[in-house]
Amino acid sequence: MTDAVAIPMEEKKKDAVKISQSYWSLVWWKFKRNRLAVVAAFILAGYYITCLIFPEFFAPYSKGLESDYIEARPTYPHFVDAAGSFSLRPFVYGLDEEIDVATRSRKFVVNESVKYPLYFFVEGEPYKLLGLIPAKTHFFGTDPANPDAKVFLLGTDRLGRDQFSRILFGGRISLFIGLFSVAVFLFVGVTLGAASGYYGGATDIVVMRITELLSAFPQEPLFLALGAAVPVSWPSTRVFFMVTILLALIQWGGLARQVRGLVLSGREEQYVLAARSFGASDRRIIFNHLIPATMSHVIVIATLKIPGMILLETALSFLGLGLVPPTVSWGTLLQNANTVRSISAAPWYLFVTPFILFAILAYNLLGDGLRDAMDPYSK
Amino acid sequence: MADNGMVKDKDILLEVKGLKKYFPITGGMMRKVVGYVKAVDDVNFFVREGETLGLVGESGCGKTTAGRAVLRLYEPTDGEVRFKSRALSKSGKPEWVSLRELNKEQLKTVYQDISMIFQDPIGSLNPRMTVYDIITEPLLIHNKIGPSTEEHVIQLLQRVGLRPEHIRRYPHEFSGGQRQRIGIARSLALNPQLIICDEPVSALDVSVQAQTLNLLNDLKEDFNLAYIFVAHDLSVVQHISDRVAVMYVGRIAEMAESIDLYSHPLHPYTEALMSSVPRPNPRLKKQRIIMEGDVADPGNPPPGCLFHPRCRYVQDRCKTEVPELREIKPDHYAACHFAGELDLKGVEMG
Repeated sequence: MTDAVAIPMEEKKKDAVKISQSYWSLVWWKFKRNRLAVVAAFILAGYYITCLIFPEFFAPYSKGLESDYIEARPTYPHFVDAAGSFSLRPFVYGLDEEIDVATRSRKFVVNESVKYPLYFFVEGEPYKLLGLIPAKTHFFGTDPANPDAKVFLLGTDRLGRDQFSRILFGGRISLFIGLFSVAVFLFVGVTLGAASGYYGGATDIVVMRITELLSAFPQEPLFLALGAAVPVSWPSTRVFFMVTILLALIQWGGLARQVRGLVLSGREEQYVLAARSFGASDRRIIFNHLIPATMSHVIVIATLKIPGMILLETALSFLGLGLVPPTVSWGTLLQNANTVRSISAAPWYLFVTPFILFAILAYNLLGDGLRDAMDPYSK
Repeated sequence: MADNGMVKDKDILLEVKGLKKYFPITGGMMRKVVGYVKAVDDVNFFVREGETLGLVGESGCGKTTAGRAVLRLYEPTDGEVRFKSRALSKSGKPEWVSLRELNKEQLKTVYQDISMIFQDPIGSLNPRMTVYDIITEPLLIHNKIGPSTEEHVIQLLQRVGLRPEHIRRYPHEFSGGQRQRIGIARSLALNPQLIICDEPVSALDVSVQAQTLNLLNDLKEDFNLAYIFVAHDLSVVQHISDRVAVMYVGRIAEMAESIDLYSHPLHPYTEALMSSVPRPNPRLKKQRIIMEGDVADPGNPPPGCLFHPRCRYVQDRCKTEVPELREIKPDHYAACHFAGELDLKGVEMG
């Protein structure tokens, strides 16, 4: 008798403790098990912290600082010097300018007798953190008391500017373009797709014909034409936003079609009818029932779209049709490497590539991980 | 018929007159309208306060469409729907309104008085919302969220036989019967007068059906509800309805008190339908009436009485003249030229 009473009591207790798993917590749980995707997420977080938010802090120099070292080779940090003695504090060798007698060109050679030790959190050029907080501390650098000491991890360009610093600052623009243009892309694609699917009729016909037109148009010439149409006299920020919006406006068609399909099937769900039977407005049905149902799909598309946007910007800028110097982006940095002469004389211009490569790779892995995690049919 | 019988009744809550819903059939390249599916064609019925009206018929006869057209979820092609609304009257006393003449805002207000329960217990609950969100959605739509909302939801859950801790769970964690209870709780959230139940038990298994029907019956007493109970299962309808309306191809064939209709049908179609009810008595001789032919196509209906190609008692008049729904006996309406003259068999109520 006592047992019979005790069992339901215990069951009840267990029941109360049990917390329901929402869809998103299940997604998170599945995502965590995909190691590659988690690593990719960390890499991207690193990118965004160093390049997008705090490049002023992580870069030893500002993006415009011109030194006397023109197209100087990279100075790599060492722990063991030429004599074989080890020091825990890394150092870089000094550079000497030399005239090559045969080609009559200037080049820099490593001078192993001069050592500049590297320090963390050194005082350097003043800057404003996040554009607001005045600061002078840089993540690493040489002794500020010695004006001759310089560190060029990835070499310098034609104006003697530090490549490494410029790559970080270029990442700010390129990564931001990826995010911003995908945001515009999502806004346009989801809005028009949802409207097209929900209202149907003339709206649907107009929107779908536009997407067909866009997808039938050869993309590259369209980019070139639109890129060329941006006036040269515009200030760089305006060009930047123009390029961003251009990228989004040409690509929203595919997303709109997919959202339309999802909304079209969602519209016939009984829970939508139920909401209507309680007097729900169109807006409420679209935003509370139909768009949330498309979200898992849309997030994956967006994640896989960001690297595409970054690459497009890079390609356009490399061709000189997107952003132009003095704006620093990964694309404009690659412009330095657009002749055989510059690659043979200063191969370190190509150091931009691995930065782009890893960002794209990380995004693709993250997108794959999200897709697997959000697929309701996977176990 | 509407003019003589129905209006004098004082406790009528909803009155439907000449309701029509035609869906266009389009064809060809230019999507030209080549015809209409007359899903609901000249339907008349009424519901009294605190009463259950069963709406039965074969699949495709337009009973679901009729239910939705009443609420204007499908905009009716023609007809009048009059409803005694509490929510829309300013004086607090129920007031007659014509649903088809209301604007959007007024219609939304009337939706507080009429709610719906759906057939599919899985599809009618948004899988991304918790039970709390689902039940409070009607309240949210009508701006009735307050500090006591959670308590209200818990009370509703307990009333329909669920536990308070279910409030944070998602629909996929419940069985079919429990999900239908969530749907019922949602339909009660705004304290309606009338609930249109669209086949609420046909997706459930038999034992759960009985529980759900009993729950609906109890709630009817507690909240003084009226139901329009759309179903195709005659024994279910018999169990729950005070009155029953039988539909055939978009029209009401017969409408009467449940007992009267089952034991003394006045329409040949009702008789044929009744003979198909399975009876748990092995000694009873099978007397099923096997109907000839197919259900009439609502896109291309036969002339005269829609049932005449299948009727056992067909006469020449039936092939040309459409029978009106008329009151043959007090509160017993039938749409047959020879209603009352034929000797039709019903079923004994068990």
